[in-house]
Amino acid sequence: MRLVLLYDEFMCPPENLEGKSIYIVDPNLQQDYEVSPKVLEYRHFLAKEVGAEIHQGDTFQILETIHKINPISEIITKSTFRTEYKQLFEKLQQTYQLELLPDYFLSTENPILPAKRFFQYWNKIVKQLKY
Amino acid sequence: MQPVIDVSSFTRNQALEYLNNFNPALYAKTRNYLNGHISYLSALIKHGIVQNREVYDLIRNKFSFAESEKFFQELAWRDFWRSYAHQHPQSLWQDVEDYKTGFQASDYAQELPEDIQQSQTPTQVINIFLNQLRNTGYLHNHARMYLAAYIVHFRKVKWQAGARWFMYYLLDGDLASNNFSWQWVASTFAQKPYFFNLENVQKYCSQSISIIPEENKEIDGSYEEISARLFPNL
Repeated sequence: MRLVLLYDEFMCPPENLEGKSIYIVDPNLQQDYEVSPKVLEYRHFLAKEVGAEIHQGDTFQILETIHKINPISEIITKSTFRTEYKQLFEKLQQTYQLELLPDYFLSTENPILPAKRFFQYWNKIVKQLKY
Repeated sequence: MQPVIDVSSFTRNQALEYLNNFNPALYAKTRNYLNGHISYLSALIKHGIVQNREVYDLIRNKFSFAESEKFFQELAWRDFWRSYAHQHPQSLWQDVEDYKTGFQASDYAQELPEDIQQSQTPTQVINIFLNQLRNTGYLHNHARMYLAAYIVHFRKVKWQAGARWFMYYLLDGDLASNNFSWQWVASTFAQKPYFFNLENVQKYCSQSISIIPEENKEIDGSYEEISARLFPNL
C-alpha cells in the first residue's frame, strides 16, 4: 500500500498522487508551542476534506500497526525545515521507502538562498518571476 | 469585528473562485487597511491546500507583472522566512541578532501579562484585536503587527512569548513566518524596531472598527514622542 502522510504543512496531496491519505495528530511532533482546540478542529476539517484517515498518537507506532495489517510499500510526504519532522522522516526512512516531495516555494529554482534581509532574497528570485 | 471571509471554513475550491475575482493592483493599494482587498489565503497556503506557486501562476495569467509585483513580494516574504528557517532552524526561537531598541534581551519579560491574555489592556484597539484573534483564529496582517509591537515595545515582553501565543491561536500559524515576523517587529531580525501610534491605527482601521481616542492614550502621540518613550536609551 502506498501511503500519503499528511501533516499540518501538507494537508492536501497533489492531484496526480495516488495513495491512501492518513493524518496523524501526534503530540510528539508538537514541540515548543501548543495549538488551540480551534486549530486542531480546523486541521481535522482539512483532513476530512481530502478523505484522509485520521489517527491520534505516536506516528511511528501507528504506521507500524497499519503496516502489520496492510504492508506499506511506500510513504510519500513533504519535506520541511522543522527539526522534529526531519527526525521523524529519518526514522521512517530506516524502515520504509520514503519519498519526500520538495518544500513549497514561489520560485522553482534554488529557493533556499543565503539572505538576511528580504530584499536581498527578493532581488535574487525576482529574475525568475518576471514576465 | 469579523474577517470578511470565515477562514476556518474556506475551502480550496472557494479560494480558487475568490482568486478569480482577486485584483493584485487593488491589493497593492489597499492591503494595509483592515477592510482592504486581501487574499485570505494564508491558512490554505500554510496547510499546503493552495501553493504559492499555484497562486502566482493564476495571477500571472490575468495581470501584468507590474500590477502583481507587490502581491508577489508578499508571497515571497513567506519564502524568505522559510528559506532562512531551512538554513538556520535554531533561530526559530532564538534572537537572530541583538535588539536594536537600546535594551538587552534580559530587559524583556518572559511571560505575557495577564491583562493581555484576558484582552483587558488599557488600550481599546489592542483589546479588539486580541479578542478577534481568540475568537476567530485570524487577524489581518497589520493588526498582527500592531499587536506584536504593542507586546514587545509598549509592554516590554520577549517576542518569544508573543510568538508562542500567536501560534496557539492562529489558524494560519506558520512557524517560520510567525516567529521571524515577530523578530522583525522586535528588531532582532531587522535593522530597527517596528512601532506605531494611534494616528496610524485610525488611518488604517477606522473604517472597520470604532476607535475611542480616550481609551487609547497608551498609544497616542507623534512617532517622535512614542519613540522617545519606548526607546529612551537610543
